[in-house]
Amino acid sequence: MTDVLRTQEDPKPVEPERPGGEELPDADQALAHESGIAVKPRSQWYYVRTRFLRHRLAVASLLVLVGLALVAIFAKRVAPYDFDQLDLFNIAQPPTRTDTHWFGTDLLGRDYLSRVIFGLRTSLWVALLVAGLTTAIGTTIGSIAGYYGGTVDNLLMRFTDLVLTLPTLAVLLTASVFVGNGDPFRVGVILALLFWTGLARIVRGVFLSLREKEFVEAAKAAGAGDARIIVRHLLPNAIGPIIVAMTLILAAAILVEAALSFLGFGIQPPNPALGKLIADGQTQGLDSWWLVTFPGLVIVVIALAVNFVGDGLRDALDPTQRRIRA
Amino acid sequence: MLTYIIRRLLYSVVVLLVASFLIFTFVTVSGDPLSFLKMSPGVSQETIANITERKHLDDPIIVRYGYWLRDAVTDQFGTTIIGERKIMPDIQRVMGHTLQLIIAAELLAITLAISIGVYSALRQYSVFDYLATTFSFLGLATPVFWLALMLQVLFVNVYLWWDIRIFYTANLSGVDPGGGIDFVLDRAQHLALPVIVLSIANIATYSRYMRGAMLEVINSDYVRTARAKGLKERRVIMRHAFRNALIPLTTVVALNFGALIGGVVVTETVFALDGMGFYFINALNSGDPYPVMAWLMIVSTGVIVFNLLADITYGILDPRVRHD
Repeated sequence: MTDVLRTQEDPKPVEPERPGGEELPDADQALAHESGIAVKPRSQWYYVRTRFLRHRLAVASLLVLVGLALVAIFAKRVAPYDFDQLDLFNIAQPPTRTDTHWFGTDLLGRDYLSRVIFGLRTSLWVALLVAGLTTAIGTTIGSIAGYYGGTVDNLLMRFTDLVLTLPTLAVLLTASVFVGNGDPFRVGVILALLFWTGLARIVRGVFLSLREKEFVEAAKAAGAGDARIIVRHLLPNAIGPIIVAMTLILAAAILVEAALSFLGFGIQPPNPALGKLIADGQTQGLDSWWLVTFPGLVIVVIALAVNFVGDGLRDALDPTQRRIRA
Repeated sequence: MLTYIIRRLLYSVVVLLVASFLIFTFVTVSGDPLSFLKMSPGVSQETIANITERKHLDDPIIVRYGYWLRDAVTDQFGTTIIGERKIMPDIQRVMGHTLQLIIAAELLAITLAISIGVYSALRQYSVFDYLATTFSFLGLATPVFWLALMLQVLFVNVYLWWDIRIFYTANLSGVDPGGGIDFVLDRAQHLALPVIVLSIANIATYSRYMRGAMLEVINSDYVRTARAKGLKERRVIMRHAFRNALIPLTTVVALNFGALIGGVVVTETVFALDGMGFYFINALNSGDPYPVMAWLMIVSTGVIVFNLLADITYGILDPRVRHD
C-alpha cells in the first residue's frame, strides 16, 4: 500500500559527520603507496555490510526472519502435525506442552502450531512473490519513464495518480472477489499490480536526477546503447532505494494479504494463510483466545522485523555515510 | 487559486470516469451477479429473464456502462440487481454511522499524536521519546483487524469470567438503546473499541510526522532569532514553533483519508457496525456490481476531495507554497 510506504519515513535527523572521523579509501591507498603499509582495498559493499552489521536491531531482526523462513521452507519436517489433521478427542485445547500443542487446538482438534507454520509458509511465499513482481514491474517502468521521459513518463504519472485516487484496500478487495479465486498466486499478482507505482516513482526520481550527469554522457560518447546505460550505469545507483522500498513492500504485502484473507477475500481454504487462521479464530468462539492471538503475533513479529531490517538497510546503503559508526 | 482548483476538479472528473469504466468492465466481466439466483430452486426462468432484461445484463459492456453512468448521474446510482433496492438511501444511512466513527477516531488520534509528537521532539532521545518510537513501530506493524479482534477477545472474556461489561464488542446500538442521554451513552459504549482500534495506527503515523516537523522547526533560524530576542521559552515554543510544525500534519491527515477508509472496512467488519465498510463487504459478498460501484465512486470522490484540500490548505498555511 502506498499509504503504508509513506508512513514508514522516519524523520530522524541525519547525524552530523564528525570532522576527521571519515575514512577516504583513495587517500588511504595513496598514503599506503608512500609509506609502504599494506592497505586492503575496500569495496562499497564492504562498507554497506559493516554498517548493517553495526545495526544490532536490524541484524537480530534479520536472524528472526531467516529463522521464520527456514521454518516455513521446512514446514513439513518442522510442524508436529499436518495442518488439516483432525483429532476429535483433543478439541479446543488451550496451549499446553503435552502433544506439543503449544498454540492449542481448534474446534476440530487441529494443532494450531502446525496450522500457523503452514500459514506462515503461504503468507511468506505471497509476500516474496509480491515484492519480486513489484520490483520487476516498478524498476522496468520507472527506468523507462525516468530515462526517456515524454509520453511514457506522462502515462506513468497519470496511472500513479489514478491508483492514488482509489482507496487501495477497497480496490484490492474488489479485485480479489472477482478474479482472486482464493488462490495465493493470483492474490499475489493482484497485490503487485497495485503496489508497483511507488517503486516506479522512486526509480524514476533517481534516473531523472542522474540522466544528465557527465558519466552518462561519457558512456554515450563511448558508444554505449540505451539498454547498457540503463542497466550498467544508472540502475546500480538506484539499488539502495530499490532494496529499501522492497523491504517496505514486503511488510505491506504481509499486512495487506492478511487483511484480505481475514475478510475472506484473499487466500481461501484449502490453502492455509495467517489472516484466514485469525478469521477462523473469530468464528470458532472468542473464548478460545489462543486461536486469534498466535497467528496475529506471528504477523506482528514479521512486520516489525522487516521494518527494522529496512531501517538498517536504509542507513547501510546510504553512500553519503561512508564513515562507519563506532 | 480558483483556476487551480477548477483545473484540478475537472481533471479529477476525468480520472473518476476512467477509473469507473475500468472497474466496471473488470467487475462485470468476471462475475455473474445472478449465479446465486440461478441456483435457487424457487426462482423461475422467467424471473431471471426479466431481471436480465430490465438490468440490460445481456448487452455489451460499453452499453451497460452507459446505462450505469446514466443511472449514477440522474438516479443516484440506481438500484441493486437483486431485489432492486435503491442504493443511495442505504449508503446515506451507513455513511452517517461511519462519520461518527471516523470523526471520533480522528479527533482522538490527532490530539494524542500532537501531544506525543511535540513532547518527543522537545525531549529528543529521552525515555519518553524512545517509548513513543517503539510504540509507533508496533502500531504500524500490528494489523488493524488483529488489534480489533484482540480487544474483542479481551472484553468478551472479561464479560464471560467476571460478568463485567465495560464496552460492547459488537453492533452499533443495544437492543433497546433508549433515548436522550441513555442513547448517547449506549452509542459511546458501542463505538469505544472501534474508535480506539481505528485511531491506534493513525496515532503511530501522525505522531512521527509531528515529531519530525517539530524537530525541524525548533532547529530553524527564526526560532533561534525568537530566543535571541529574549522571548520566554514557552512563548517561543507555543507561538513560533508549534504553529508552524502543525502545517505538515494537516497534509498528512488529509492524505491519509484513503488509508483510513481501509481501516474502517476492517474495523467495522470485526465489530459488525452498520457502516460504510460493513456495507461494502456485504455488497462484495452479494456479487452485485452496482452497490460496489456506487460505494467505490463515493469513497474515491472523498479521497480526491481530501487530496485537493491537502494541497489547498498547504498553500494557505504555508506562504512559501503558492499554486498558479
